[in-house]
Amino acid sequence: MRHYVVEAARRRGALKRDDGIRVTLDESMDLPISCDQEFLALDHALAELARTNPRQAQLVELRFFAGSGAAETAQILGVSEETARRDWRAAKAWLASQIRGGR
Amino acid sequence: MDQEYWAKLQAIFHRASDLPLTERFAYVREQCQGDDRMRAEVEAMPSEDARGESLLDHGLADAAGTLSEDPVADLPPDAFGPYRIERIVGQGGMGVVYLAERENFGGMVAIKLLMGGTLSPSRRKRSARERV
Repeated sequence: MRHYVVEAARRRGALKRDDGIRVTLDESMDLPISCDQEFLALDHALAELARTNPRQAQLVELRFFAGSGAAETAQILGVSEETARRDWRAAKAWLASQIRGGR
Repeated sequence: MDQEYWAKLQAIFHRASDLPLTERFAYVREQCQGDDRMRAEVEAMPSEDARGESLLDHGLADAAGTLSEDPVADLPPDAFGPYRIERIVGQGGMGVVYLAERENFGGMVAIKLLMGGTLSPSRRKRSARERV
């Protein structure tokens, strides 16, 4: 799922470049363009997290890309729910700030 | 980013999030002395945490909806992750169904790609039933 979403964002970015960028004022207010960039920034930051802490990156993949709940994620990773919750909260805050800084 | 950096950053973040705003910045600054990168990164985190409005908070269905209004035109895929697309089996108002093969393991699966990333509750229910 992560691969699919990120590829879609990348492809759209490539299309935009090929066409030259024609953005009307209305379109520039629209979500999709910034959303593509957010996905690419997320992919980049998540790759960095995976190099540092693979388990926590996997947690993000499960929670966000696979849509697993807190309890299910904790079970899959073999950690307590409290640990899974704390790790998700920190990873989410860090990734969100990386996305904001990177776009 | 090494493991030690990441562990320290998280510890400071959790502690800082529990502190009142007035004490938070002083605490972060003190803990991150001599490490400007860490200070900048930790300082940005509690507000993201409190705001709860990032891409990750909104969930994938919301965000993906903006990426895939038209999956056919947008994405003539040859693979979804480990699933190699064989061909399109069907196409309709709801979306597209692909026949795919799991790499390495073999075995054919059907992948249904729904139009519009945000599903109504009834469509979501129906989609969950079809998963089995």
